[in-house]
Parts: sequence; structure tokens; C-alpha cells
Amino acid sequence: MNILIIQVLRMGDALQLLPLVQGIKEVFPQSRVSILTSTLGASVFENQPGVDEMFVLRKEALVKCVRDGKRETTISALHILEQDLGPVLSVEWDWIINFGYTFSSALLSYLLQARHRSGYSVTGRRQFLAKEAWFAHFLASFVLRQYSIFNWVDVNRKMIGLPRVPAPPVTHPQPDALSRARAFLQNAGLEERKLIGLHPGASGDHKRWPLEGFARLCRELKRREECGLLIFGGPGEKELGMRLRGLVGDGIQDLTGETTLEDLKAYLSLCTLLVTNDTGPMHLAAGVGARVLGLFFSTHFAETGPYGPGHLVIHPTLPCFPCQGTGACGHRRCLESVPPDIVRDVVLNALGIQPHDRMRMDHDAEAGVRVLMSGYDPWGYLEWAPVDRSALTLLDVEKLLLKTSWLAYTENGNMPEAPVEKSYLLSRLGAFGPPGDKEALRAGVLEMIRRLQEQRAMMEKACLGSLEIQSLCLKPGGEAARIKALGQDLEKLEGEMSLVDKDSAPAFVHELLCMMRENLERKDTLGLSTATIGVYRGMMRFSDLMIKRSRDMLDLLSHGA
Amino acid sequence: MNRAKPLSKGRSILHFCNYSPITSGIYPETRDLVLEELRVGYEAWIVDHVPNNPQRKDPACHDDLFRAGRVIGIEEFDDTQPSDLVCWHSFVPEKILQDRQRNLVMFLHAMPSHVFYNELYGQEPVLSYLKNVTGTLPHCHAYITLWPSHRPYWENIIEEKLLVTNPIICCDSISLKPDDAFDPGRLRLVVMDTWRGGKEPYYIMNAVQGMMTRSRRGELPFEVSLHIYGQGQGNIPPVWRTLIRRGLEGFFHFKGRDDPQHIFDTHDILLTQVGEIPTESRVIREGLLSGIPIVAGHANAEWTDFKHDCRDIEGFAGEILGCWEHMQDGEARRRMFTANRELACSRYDIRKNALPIFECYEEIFARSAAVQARAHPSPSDGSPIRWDLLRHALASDEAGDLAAAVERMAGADEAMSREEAVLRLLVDLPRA
Repeated sequence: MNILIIQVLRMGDALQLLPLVQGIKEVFPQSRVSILTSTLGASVFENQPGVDEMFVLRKEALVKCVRDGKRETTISALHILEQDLGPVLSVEWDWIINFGYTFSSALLSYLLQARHRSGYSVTGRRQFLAKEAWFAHFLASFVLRQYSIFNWVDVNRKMIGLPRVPAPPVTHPQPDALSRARAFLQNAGLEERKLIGLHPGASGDHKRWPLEGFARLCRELKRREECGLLIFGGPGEKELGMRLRGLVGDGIQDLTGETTLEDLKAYLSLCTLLVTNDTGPMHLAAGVGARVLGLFFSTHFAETGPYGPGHLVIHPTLPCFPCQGTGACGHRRCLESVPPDIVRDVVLNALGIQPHDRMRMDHDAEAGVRVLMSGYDPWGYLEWAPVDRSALTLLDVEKLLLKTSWLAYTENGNMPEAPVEKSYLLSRLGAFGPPGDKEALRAGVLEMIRRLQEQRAMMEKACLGSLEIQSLCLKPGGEAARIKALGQDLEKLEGEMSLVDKDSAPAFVHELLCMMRENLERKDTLGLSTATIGVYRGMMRFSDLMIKRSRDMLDLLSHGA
Repeated sequence: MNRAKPLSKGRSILHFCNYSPITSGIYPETRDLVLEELRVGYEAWIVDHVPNNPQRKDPACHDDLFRAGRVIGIEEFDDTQPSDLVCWHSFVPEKILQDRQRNLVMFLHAMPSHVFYNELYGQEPVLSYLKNVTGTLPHCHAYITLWPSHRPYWENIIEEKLLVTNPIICCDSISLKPDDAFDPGRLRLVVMDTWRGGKEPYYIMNAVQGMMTRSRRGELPFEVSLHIYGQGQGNIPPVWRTLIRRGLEGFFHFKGRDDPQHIFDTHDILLTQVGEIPTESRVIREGLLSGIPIVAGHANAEWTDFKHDCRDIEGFAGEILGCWEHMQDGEARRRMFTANRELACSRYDIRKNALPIFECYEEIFARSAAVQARAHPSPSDGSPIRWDLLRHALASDEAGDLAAAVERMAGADEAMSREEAVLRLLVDLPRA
């Protein structure tokens, strides 16, 4: 089977894909797995064992030509596209998998010949959609990011039906790069030390922990004889690396701008820990099996955190987290709210130098932080559990309910038995400290149940409306006016459904419903009404699962938490 | 590991079959297949060829598929509606049959001998039709039977592709019966087969009366009753009652219809006469899923340890008693339940047994030039992108305005050309 993976996003996204590529090759070992990627992505997939062939789209060059806006450069862009796409267009692919979520990736999928397609694509009628339910969940999480639950790797693997992806390491450094790295460390007298990598850069300043934070951390760590410190970064971050070294003084090696991707891979594979902002090298470190401490300020670790067990993240518990860099809050307090001494404690604990019970946390409600560690849940999905016993909040409870309900909904009878789920929920609830206000938490869950029930009743009404439309469509000869009127009623009802408190689990359920509706192909009215009925019925079932689990949760909170 | 090939999600499949969730027959098999098709991503519907079928009008007869909007009556069906595949289960209108643009597969549900004898005695000439059309229906791409034991019979008639799969059932449809209703003092026998030629419980009713008499005399330490579903008290022909010995009438119960799960849960042993070829009827598959012990009236029934030719009514009765004795031990009884369910899941699980059917569908989709790709339709049909046309389109615009070029390329076309897609790609790449 000829499989083509489309991944033309950023390098970090390409790096995050590595477990998926390996997973596909494991499940289809006889297949030829090719990747259509950008120039930056090519450096990621080159020499990657699961990749049989790579097609490079010179995206950066194309963008430059198009942005120039002149006729001649636009025609040059066309020429580049023709050259780069030529070899891919000539292949009749068995399966095209688009792991992107942009219009351009969907258009690429559309242009190519394929028997089957997965992921985002576009129809001949110019409708951009993906039929997979997991993609709808992913889009809903984009809108309401505080409800991000699943890692992008898990979302994509479920989208294409992979039962699992290989455990790290999923990529290995080249032997010569490894030799070079070892030689450097020997010369620097670091070969016997616990190496701690630091990545102070990031693609946007909304993702960057202030340099002074890194500097304070390094000054503390370099006092520990067992630690060796390395600064990493791309060529564009050289100045940042120099500034950090300047602030720290001796006792730290600055490798910013000095490493190719292969070199970086080699160094990371030798690191005990990488302390980093949300960056591409974070995923590379996870990919080579190094442990990561990720600092997340405006992006959500659940979605783009390092994939694999035992990683750590620290994030602020501000109400505006995560903002995705929109800066809607106007204050950027998140970047100032992670104290270096907490990061130090977490690092020392991760290195086995400081025992866990000495970890100090600031639980101030306005600017607290949380420390979490990754692991796998009983169903094989990556999840994050607090290591600091931070107080259980309504959001934590909502996310647990959304997660287990979604899995029950999508696994469709293949979930483990109820006692496994109950034991899982108890253990997850037990990982948190007691809620600040237990009664308020219970009241929150009760209110959520009430809203879910209201929402469900409206969905049922909308479903019946769609059923009536369908019945009318099946009668040859008309009733177009009545169909139109029913369609307007349905729109009005859907408008009422959207009037739900944005910061709530029912809002997420509504978003999910909207995404599923938007991803229905708009062909004839009959097909659309039938598919709409299916979506409403599915979401009603999902609501039922949420409501039941919410009621069970009230019992657990009373007796278990 | 999951080695399934990806399916052409979104393909539309119409199953022509009568809607009869209450009176059983072909419909439940077709429904299970449609539900599985929907589960894997096909778009499937049942078209009920019985005009104004009362079962569609009666809410008590509405099943999940109907409520999901997936059952269309023939009187409402717009026969210009395109589809990627038509599945013929019981009847297909001539207009659909003659439409060579449609892909067709025929499902052979009935027992070949029944089809023969029906025609022999003046009913529908199905066999003659099959013999005549094979080779002349070019758009009938496959004949499919779910019964391996029917293969040698169909192979004498069907010249083209005959796909033989195994019987199907959705393993979630029936759950394991509980053990809390067992009462060693009461043997509750049950019969659930559909009443038609050879499957009415004639031999069973005769066989159980010896046990009932012995029980009345105190020779057996338990009461024996026979519960017969499928015919109610009000419509049982009087001749059936002539079979019953005087004094035993109270032990025979004609129950009409009930929920199968409830029947399995509240009875002890399922009895079945089985036709001349011991295929596993739906009742048997559902019964095995529930775990209920089954005594079959055919010595070659592979799916149960308890079997005896029911025409030897004393021997058959002895087999029932042997099964009952085995059930007295709680552990052994529960092991029987579990073993039956495991057998059903391993043999009949639709998620496994439907795969060859879907592979057949995929071959048809791949082969057919008339298929309208619905999942992600693309004009990527092998025709090359007209790069020169694109260069010309861009060169003729002084301003190099891509967005305007997209609009001009799209024009009034309902469908997006590949050239338009290329221009849209250039527009979007800087944003991505």
C-alpha cells in the first residue's frame, strides 16, 4: 500500500508527528510510507526509519514569492509548486493522511490522487471538512482551549485508527553526531555529569519564560557538582543564548546556533533533562527518550506537551490560561508567575537530588502554578496528573467527565468495564488535594448536570426537526416552502443552544456539536438532514453519558475525594 | 495489531429489503449489516420495498435504525437518488435493476432448497431467474451468502463471483444471561423459531410430553413446561392442540412475541428443530450470545454439545434431560453460559465477518467508472493540472492579484477545478 502523509506545518508540528509515523509503519510494515513536508520538516524526517520517501514542498520559498505580491514572483511560485508537486501528483496513492488543519493542507490532499483520505480535506464544492469525529473534538478544543484533554498524537492516531504508537525513543541520533556530542562533552569535562539542557527560546514571546528566570535557575543548578548545563537554540536565538550565558557566568555551555538538527538530537539523547519552553526541541527530546520539563504559559500542554511517560510541565493557574498568545488579558502575568525556585525544586526532584516531599508550591489562587507529570491512562491515552496535590477544581472535574464520556462515546462498547473506569476516576481525584470549597464544587457539578439536561432537550427537539425535514425531502414534488420554514426553525433553535456560558462543560459539548455539524458534507438536503439526525443522536448519546457520569461523580466526590 | 485496510468512508449504500423488525426474517440480518456499515463510515440506508408497510407506520415497530432516519419506504423513495451501491436482499424495482450505472450485489438469504420447492409448487420463480440472469446482469458484481453450508448448492446455479462469508451478529445486541433465575425444581423449555415449513415445533411438542408426564407422576423431581414464542394463544391453529395429551395443556404456553433478551434470561434451555441443513438461525446465534444452553434437533449441529435427531422424540427428550442434568451444577452451568457466548463471539462477530463483504464493496468501488466519490470528492481522476492555463491566468493580471485570479478561475462552476485548487493553495500558504 502506498501511504502519503501530508505535514507542511512548522518544525515543532513535524517533530510531534514522529511517533505517528513510526506507528503507521509498524501497523503496515509492507507499505511504502512517504511524507509530503516543507523544507524545515524535511530535516526532521530525513533518515527517519519509518519514512520510505520524502517529497519536499519549498513552502518557505513559495510564501516569500507570494507575499511579494508581484505578478512575476507569483508566477515563480507557480513554477516552484509545479516542480515540487510533480512527483507527488504522478503517484496514485492508496491512502493520504493529512495531519494538518490548514486550508492549504486540505487543498494538497484534494489535488492528489487517492483511493482513501483521512483528515482534513476539501470537497469539490469547496467545503473544507474532515469526517473523523476525533477531528471535530480537536477543533472544539481549539475554540475552548481550557478543555484540551488529549495530546495531538493521540487525536491523530485515533483519527486514522492506530491502536497505539511506539513508546519513545522513536528517533535516534546518527552515530557520527553522537560521537561529536560525546567528544564535546568530554572536552568540556561534562561526560560524568547529569546533563541538563535549557532552551530559553520559543517561536513567540508569549511562550517564553523570562530570561532572568532561566538565569536564576542556572545559577542555582551550576552550584551542584553533579549537574552539567547546556544551552540550546536555533541560529536566530544565538543572541538569547549569549545573554543567558552572560547572566549565568561560567559553568554553562552555550550551544545556541551551533547545532544541526542531528547534532541537537545527539545532545538531547545524552541529557537527563531538558528544561524548555513549548518548542520543537521539546518534542525532539521526547522523541529521543530524554525527559522534559516543559514550561507552558499560553499554549496547552495537554495538546502539545511532550509525548511519553514521566515528563513534567509547569503552568500558571490563571483564569486566562491558555490564551494562545492572543494576549486578551492585557497583562501577560503568566510569564511572571512561575517562580524559579519552583522550577529548581522540580528539576532537582526529577534528577533524584531532592525528594518529592520537599517540593514547595505556591497555591495562591490568583497566580499559582501547577506541576504535572505525564503517564498513560488505562486506555492508552497520554494524560497529566498533578504531582503537587493542587486543589481539585470544577474544571478538573469537568475535564475528567468530558474525557471518560468521549472515550465511552467513541470506543462504542470497547471500553474497559465500569469498575476500571471507577477505579481510574478515584485515583485521578485522589491525585488532587481537597477542593477549596467542597460545597461549591458539588453545586458546580449539579448546575452542569442541569445545563446538560437542558441542552439535551434542545438537541432532541432539533433532531425531530431534522427528521421532519428528511421526511419531506423524500416525498417527490415539493413542500419546499415547508422545508425552508423548518430549516429556519432549526437555525433559531441552534441559535438558542449557542447561548451557553462559554466557560463550562456544556459549552464544550455545544462546540463539539457545532464542529460535527460543520463537518457534514453539504450535498443534497436529504443527505444532509439524514447526516444531521445522526449527529444529533450521537451528541444526545454523548450528553447521556456525561449526565450519568456526572451523577456518579457526585457520589465519588462525597465518598471518595 | 490493527491490520484493516482503510475503507472508502462516505460511500452510499442502499439495501432493498422489507422492513420487518417484528416478524423477523431477512430484515434483522440486513439491519445488522447496515449498522456495521454505518459504524465503519459508509452511509447506508434500507429501502423498504413494501409500499406503505404498516410496520413503518406503527411506532411500536420502530427500531433504532428507523428512528435514526435510515429506513425509507419505497413509496417515498426518489429513484433518481444516486448511490454507490445497491444491495438486493428481497426485491429491487425493475427501474433500479435496469439502471446499468448502478453497482449491484445480491444477497442470498434463503435456503436453496426452500427457494427450489417454492418455485416447484408455484411460488416465485427465483431459481429460474437467477439461472437466467447470471451473465446478463453486468452490473451485478457479486452474489453473497452468509451461510457456508449453502455454498455447494449456489455454486451449481451462480456462474459469477459468489462470496461466502460466515453468519453475522452484533455481539453487543444480547448480553450474557444472569444465573439468578435458575430453579432446579422448574425446567422451563423455550422454542423461538419462526413458524414456517419444517421449523414449527411439531417434534419438540411431541418429545417433551413424555418428560411432562413423568414429572406429573413424581418420577422427576422438577416440573417441565414448554414456552412457545412466535404464535400467540389467539392465532394458533387448533390442530396443534390435538398433539397435547389430556392433562398436560397447562404446561404448554403459546406466548406470541417478546424481547429476546428477556426470553433467554427467564428460561433454561432453548430447543430448536433445525432445518435439513443445520444452519445457525438468528435465534440460535442470539441464544448462544446469551449463553442459554441449546438442544438441537439435528445430529450435525456443530454449535452445541446437545443434539439429537428430533424425529426420534424419545432420544431427543433424553438429550434435553442430559442437558438439564449437566446444568444442576452451578459452576458447570455458568461455564456453559460463558462457553456458548465465547463461541458466538468467535464465530459470528459482525466486526470480523463483515470484513470480506466490505472488501468486496471496495473492489467494486475501485473498479467502477460510474462511482461518484462522496467522501472527499476530488477531480483527481488522473487528468493533469493545466499549469499553462494557470500561468496564463496569472500573467494576464497586471496586479498579480491571486484572490482575483481564484475568482476568475472558479467562474460560475459548481465544482472546483484542480487549477482553482492550486490558486487557492497559493493564497492560503502564507496564512498557514
